[in-house]
Amino acid sequence: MRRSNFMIIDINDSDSRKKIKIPIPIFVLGDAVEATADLIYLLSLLMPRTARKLLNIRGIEIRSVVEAVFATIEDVRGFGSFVLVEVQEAHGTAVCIRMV
Amino acid sequence: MNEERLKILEMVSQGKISSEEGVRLLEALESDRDAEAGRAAGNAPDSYNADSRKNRPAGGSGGQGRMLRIRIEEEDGSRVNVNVPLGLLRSLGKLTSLIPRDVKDKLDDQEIDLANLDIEGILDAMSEGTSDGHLVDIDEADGDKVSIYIE
Repeated sequence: MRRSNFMIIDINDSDSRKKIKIPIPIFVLGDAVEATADLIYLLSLLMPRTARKLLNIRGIEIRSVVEAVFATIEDVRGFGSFVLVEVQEAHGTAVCIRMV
Repeated sequence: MNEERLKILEMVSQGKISSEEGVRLLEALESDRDAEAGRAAGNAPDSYNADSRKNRPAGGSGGQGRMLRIRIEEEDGSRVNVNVPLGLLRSLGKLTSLIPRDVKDKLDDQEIDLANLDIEGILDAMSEGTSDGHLVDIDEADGDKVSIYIE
């Protein structure tokens, strides 16, 4: 299956007849998160003490958070094209979030 | 499809298969056809009402496996459609790393293991108990409708 590359947010305001389309390149987002995970890994190799101090905020390990976010982005992309959310007001704004 | 039906009936009349087996095969054919129709339409199972079918989102659903679908329709015409691939629910389990350690410790004390929580399995088990995959159907007197189902 073809992986999705963009999250597209469509906002359609029927009152002002405005149509807004916001494409979010999730492949870039995924790459950025992966790069962050790599940097964190390097930091923890080169400066383990500093990394332990820096990358632990209120008991949340940033490293595992970044890895989990990356895995989730990859999973979402793996599902291909689909409409995630669609909201339609009776006589007004329509919002659609879809993966393509 | 009709050819397949005729073939099954022929096999029954020739005694190659029993009538019970024939019925099972016909039912299997029927369910295949329903599944194909659902995929072609891109959404709700047949039991979902005609109004809802009209309002189905245009997005393709084919190919990514089963989906948890939430449909909310208000009496004034407002509607909300949410489609979440079931496989994605499984991967959301990985986000348990967002839970602070002290909360995790409390959960461990209560022997609650969120990391191994099989949300997909729970939803599957719930939907197996229903004929059409509907988990929740609410039809209020004022016309509001909420439907949660797996497809």
